[in-house]
Amino acid sequence: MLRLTSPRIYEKCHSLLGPFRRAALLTVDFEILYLRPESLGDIGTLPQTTEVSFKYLQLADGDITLTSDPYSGGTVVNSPTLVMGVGHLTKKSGTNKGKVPAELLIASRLTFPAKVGQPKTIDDEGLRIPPTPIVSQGTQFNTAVIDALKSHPLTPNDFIPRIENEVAQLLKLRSHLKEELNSDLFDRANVREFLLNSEREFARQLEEISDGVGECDLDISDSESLHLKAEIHDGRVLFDFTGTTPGKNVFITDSSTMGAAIGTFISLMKRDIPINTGVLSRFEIKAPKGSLVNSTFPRPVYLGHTDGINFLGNAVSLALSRIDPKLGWAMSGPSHGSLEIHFKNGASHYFSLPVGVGATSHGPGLDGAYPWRRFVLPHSIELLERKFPIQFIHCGFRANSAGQGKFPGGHGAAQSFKVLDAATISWTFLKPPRKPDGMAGGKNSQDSEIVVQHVGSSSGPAAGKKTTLPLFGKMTLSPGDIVTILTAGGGGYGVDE
Amino acid sequence: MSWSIGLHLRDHLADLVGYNEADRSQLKRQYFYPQMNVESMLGSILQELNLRDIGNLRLYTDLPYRLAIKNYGGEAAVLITSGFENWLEMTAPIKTPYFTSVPRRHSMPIERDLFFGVTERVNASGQVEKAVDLTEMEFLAAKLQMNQIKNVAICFLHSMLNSENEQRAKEFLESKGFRVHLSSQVVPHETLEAESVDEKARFWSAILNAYVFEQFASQLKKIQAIFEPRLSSNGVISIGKFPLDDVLNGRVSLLQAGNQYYDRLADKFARSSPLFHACVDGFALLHGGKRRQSTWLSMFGPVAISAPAFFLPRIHPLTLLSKNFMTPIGFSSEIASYDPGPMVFGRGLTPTFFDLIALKIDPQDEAVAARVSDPRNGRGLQKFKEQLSVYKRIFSQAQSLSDEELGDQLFNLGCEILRDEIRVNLADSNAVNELLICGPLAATLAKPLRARLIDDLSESPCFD
Repeated sequence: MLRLTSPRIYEKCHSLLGPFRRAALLTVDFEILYLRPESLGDIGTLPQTTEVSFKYLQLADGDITLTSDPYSGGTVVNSPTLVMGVGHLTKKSGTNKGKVPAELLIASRLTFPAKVGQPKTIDDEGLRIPPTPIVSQGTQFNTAVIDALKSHPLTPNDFIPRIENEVAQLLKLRSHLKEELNSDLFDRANVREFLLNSEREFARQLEEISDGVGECDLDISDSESLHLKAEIHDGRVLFDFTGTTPGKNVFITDSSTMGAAIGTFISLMKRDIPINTGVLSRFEIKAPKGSLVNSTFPRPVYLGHTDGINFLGNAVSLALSRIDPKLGWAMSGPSHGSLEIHFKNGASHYFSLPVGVGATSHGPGLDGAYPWRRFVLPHSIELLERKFPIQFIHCGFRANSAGQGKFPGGHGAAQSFKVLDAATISWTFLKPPRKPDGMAGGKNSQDSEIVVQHVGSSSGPAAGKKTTLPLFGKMTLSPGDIVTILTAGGGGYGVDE
Repeated sequence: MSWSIGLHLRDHLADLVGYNEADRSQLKRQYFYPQMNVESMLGSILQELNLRDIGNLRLYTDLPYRLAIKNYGGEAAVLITSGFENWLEMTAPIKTPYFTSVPRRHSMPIERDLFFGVTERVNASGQVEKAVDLTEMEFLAAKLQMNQIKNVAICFLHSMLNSENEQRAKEFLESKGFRVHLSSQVVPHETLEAESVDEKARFWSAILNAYVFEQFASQLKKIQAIFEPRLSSNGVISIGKFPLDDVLNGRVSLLQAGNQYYDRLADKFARSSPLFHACVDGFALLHGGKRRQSTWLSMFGPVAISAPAFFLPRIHPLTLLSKNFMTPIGFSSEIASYDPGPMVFGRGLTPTFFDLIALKIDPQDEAVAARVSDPRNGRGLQKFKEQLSVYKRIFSQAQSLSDEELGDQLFNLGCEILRDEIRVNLADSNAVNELLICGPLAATLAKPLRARLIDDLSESPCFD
C-alpha cells in the first residue's frame, strides 16, 4: 500500500494528463488538483470554463461539453475547451437515477489558428460556441451539434476531426481515472491533505520574498493605461488593478487577468510550482468591472488575451520588483505580431513569432522565445513554401533588438517572406508608447514592427515603397511584395560596465 | 571453431551471446561494470571468455544518441541556407517545463558562431534558383579551417526535392579534406515521404551526425582494435546490419546505426505486444506492432530517423531523487550518470531511482545483483540507507514509516509513475496488460510493472 498520498496525487495527475497540452483536473467542488497551462490566461480560464460548464450543464460521468466562449470562462474563440465529467458510482435514487454522477472534471483546450483583424465585437473574431453538450455518457455523440458545426462557415477545416480526436483522448483518460476512483487516492481526505500540503509549502516559499507594496502605471496606448498595486503581506499576495482605464482596443476578461497575474508571480519564483487550489488560495485579485482587465460582453478579446496579457505580465513583474528587487525582471517583448495571409484560392495561414525575453537580476534574457506561452504552431519553412505561394527570405533572431545592460535582454525575432501570388494580409499587434523597459539601469529594447516592401507593385501610390504597418489593418499584396515581421527584444538588466 | 557473437554494448553494460558453428555450443553472458570504461570492460570480458576465431561480430550500441544527449560530441560546423542561421535554435524546445523568468534551451551541440549562411536557394518545386557559388565556398572553407573543423553538416532548404546544391557544396568541401554530412542523405528515403519531412528534422539529423562522428568513430576503432586479434581470417564486424566500414566512412547515418538495437528488439519481441526495455542507464517503451516513427523528438528538436515507435519515460534509472514542491525526496527532472554514479556503488552523493531499485534487486537480474551485493559496495549501500533516514526525519508524511518502508514506498511510487506513463502512451491502453519486459533490470521491475519477463537464450535480442 502506497501511503505518500500528496506526491502520489501530484505524480498521478502529471502522468495521466501527460498527453494533454492545456488541461486541468478539478473536483466537482471546483478544487483545482492539477493545471497545465500553455498561456498565462489558461491559469484563470481553464478552471473558470470547467466551473461554468459543470454548473450549467450538470455533467455526469462520460458527459462532454464544448465551448469557445471567452465570456463563459474561455480564452479566445480559436481555443475551444472540452470539459468532461468522470465518476464511478451509480446514483441509486433521486433525479438522474441510474446515471453516474461526476466526481472529477477534466478540461482540455485546443489551439486553432486565429482570425486576425480589427474586430468590433467578440463575434467578429470567429465562431463563439457557448457551453454545448457534445457527448453523453461517453458514447452518444450529439450529432445535431456536430453537423451544425460542420456546416458553419466560420468552422476551421480540421476542427471536427481534431475535436473528435480529443474526445477519444478524454475518454481514454476517463477509463484511467475511473480506475483511480476505485482506489482511495482521490478520497476527500487525501485531496484535502494534498491541497493543504501545497498551500503550506507555497506559504513557506512566500516567506523567502519580502513583504511590502509595489505600484506601477503603464500606458498600453495613448488612451489606455494599466494601474497595478501589488501587495505581499503575511504569506498572501494581492493584485489590485483599481485605477486601470477602460479598454479601447485591449480587452481582457477577469479570469484571464487573474491567470496572468498569478502566472507571472509564479514565473518569478523560478521553480516548478504546481498550480492547484492550495497554491491559488494565497492570491487575491481585484479587477474593476468595465476596466480593460475585466471587460464585458461583447468586447473582442483576441488582442487582450494574447499580447495584452503579456503586457500585463510585464506590469506584474515591474510592481513586484518594487517590493523585492530580487524579483527584478526587465520587460519582455509583449507582442507576437499576429498576421494572417489569405490567397485567392481561399487558403490562409497565421503567423506569430517569438519575442526577446527580458533579463533578470540573475542573468541575460533568452533570444526569440515565448516567455508566457508554451504552444507553438507547427511551422516548417519547406512545408509552408510547398503549401502556399510564398518564399521565405529570412527567419531567425532579430539583430540588435535586445536592451543592453549588465545582463542583456534577449533578441526578438525577424521573419521576411515574399508573396508569389496576389494575397491579402490582416494583422494586429500591440505597440505600447514606450519600448520594452530595461530595469535597474538596463536599456530599453527595440519594439515590434511589421513592414511591407511593395517590390511587386508596379502601379499605384505604394509602388516600390516601404510601408510600416499600423496596429491593425488589412492590405492587398502583389506578387513579389515582401512582408517582414519584427518582434521586440527584451529589456536589459543593470548597468553595463 | 568459429564464433558468431552478438554484443549489445553500453557505457557500463555488455550483453553478449555467442554461437559456435563447429560444436553448436552457445554462450550467454551479461556484464555490468558500473565503474569501468568500455575498453576495460571488454578487455576483462574477452579475457574471461577467452574467445578466439570470431567469424562474425554484430555490435549493437546506442552511443551516437548518448553522445548527442550528453553533449559529448566534437567540434563541427553547419552550412545552412543564408537567412536561416538561427532557425533551428529559435525553434528548439525550452527545457523548463513551467513558466519562469529564466527560460532556457538545452545548450546547442554546435555553437551559434559555427552556423554559416550560404547564398543558395532551391524553391518549393525543386528548381535551383541560386546555385552554390564556389568563391563563397572558398571563403567559408577558410573559416572552417580557421576554426579547426573536420565535420560539416550541410542543411539546405528543399534538398530532399533537389540535392544539387548540397552535393556541389559537399564535393567542394571534401576536396578540401572535410567530412561532410548532407541533410538530403540522412533520411532513409524508403521509409519517408519527402513531403512529410520537416526540414528541422532533416537538418538536426545531419548536424548530430556531424557532431558525434569523431567520438563515435574513435570508440568504434578502439572496439575494433580489441576484437581484431580474436577475429578469424575472414572475420567481420558490423554495427547491427551495417558493415563497420560503412559506419566509419560516414556512408550510413550514425543515428540510424545507433538505433539498431531497438530495431532488433522490435523485430524480435514487439511484433504485437508492447515491450519495456529496462536497462541500467535508460528505460524505453516500444509500442509494439509494425508502426514506425520518422522522427525522434530530441531535446534540440525533431530528428529524422526511421525507428520502431518508441517512447522514453521521464523516469530514468538514474533520475535523481531530490526535493521537489511536494516532498523533500521526490523524482526530479535531473539525471545522473555512472560517474559519480548511484550511491549504492559508493560514488554518488545524491540518491537515484537506481538506488531504490538496488534495494529490491531480484537475484535473476544476475549482473546487477552481483554488483549490488559486492561487499566492496557495502559502504555505499549503508550511506544510501542513512540518507533515507535523514529524509524520513524531515518528511512529515513519512515519519510513521521505517527507513525500509520509506525505500519501499519510493520504489513503488517510481514504478507507479512508470506504469502510468506506459499506459497513457500506448495507443490502446488495454495493451498495458500484455506488456513484455527485458533488460538487465527486467526481473526486478516485472512484478511492479505487471509485465511478462522475456528470459531465455533463444530469445536474446542479440541472438540471430
